[in-house]
Amino acid sequence: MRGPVARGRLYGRHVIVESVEEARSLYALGFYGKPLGVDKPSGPNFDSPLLVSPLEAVYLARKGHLEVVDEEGGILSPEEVEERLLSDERLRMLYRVYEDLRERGLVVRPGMKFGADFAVYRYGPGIDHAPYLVVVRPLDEAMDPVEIVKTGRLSHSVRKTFTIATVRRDGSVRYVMFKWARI
Amino acid sequence: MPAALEARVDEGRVTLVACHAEQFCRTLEERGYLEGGRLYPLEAAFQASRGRVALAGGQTGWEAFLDIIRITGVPLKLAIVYRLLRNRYPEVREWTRPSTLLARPRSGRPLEVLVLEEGEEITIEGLLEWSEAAAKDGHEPVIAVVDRNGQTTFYEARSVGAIV
Repeated sequence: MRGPVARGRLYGRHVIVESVEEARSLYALGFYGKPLGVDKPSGPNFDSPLLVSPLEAVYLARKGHLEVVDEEGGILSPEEVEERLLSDERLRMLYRVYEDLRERGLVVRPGMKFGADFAVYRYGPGIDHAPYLVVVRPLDEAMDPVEIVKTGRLSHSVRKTFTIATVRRDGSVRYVMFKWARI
Repeated sequence: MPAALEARVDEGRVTLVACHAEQFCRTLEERGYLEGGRLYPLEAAFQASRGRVALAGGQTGWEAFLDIIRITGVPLKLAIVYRLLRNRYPEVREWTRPSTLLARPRSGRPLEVLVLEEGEEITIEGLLEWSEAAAKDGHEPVIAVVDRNGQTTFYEARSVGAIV
């Protein structure tokens, strides 16, 4: 396996890739991270460091694409990165779904502006228009069905498929995909 | 349009009193909605709402619809969704899983509709289990959500292991 394409430093709960060249390489690998000061990057042609989210950092560290150092510059193992960044149950659940989607070759970006956890692309931002909005919920969580309607309507209005993802007790990820039905 | 059928509703049952339109009653029998002089309550309420069934007490239309569901104990949400489905599908029935209706289109897979109501919470696990059970039975899983204004929204709700 090739070595890491980038080195990132821990800044609280994020990782920053400070070298612009490495930042571009990491971004180009699969639309990872967000260049500082750039809202919508048009490609790996930005001139700023890259902010990598906790989920991305853990995934990339595990895959060997990102080397993460702590505040003092000490190299962290992927397990240590995970321990530092996936500090609670909710983040671990989000990570499990993130990993599942990435392992299926999908591009996973934040879905916050759509009220979701993830916006999922087949090819990537700027290439296709995130056909799926994914909300991650615990298996045993109860929800008011009206929440499904609200999120479903929002997704439909932006031509995306609303999906709830959950992690089963055996660790497998399951999705419920909602499609508005004209009846 | 005059009522095609007159019925009595008591003791949780809807009973045929008189049939004024033979073809209408025959169709109900053929589809299993009228059997041994008893009318399927959801169908009776649906037909009452369209003025085709009147009650022996003189109630017609929505008054009859409400009397039927109140006396037979049919949940309002079920009657609302049944009515919407019946406007489109010739055969709709309560299904064996709780709060579900089965609508059979003229062609294609039957729709299994889980009727939910605002404020009535469901767990993700419950939703998954229902969707998977419906699919296993060869049904298209659909949820119907009745909100506090009585508005109903339908969504196909498929459980899958991968979204693409």
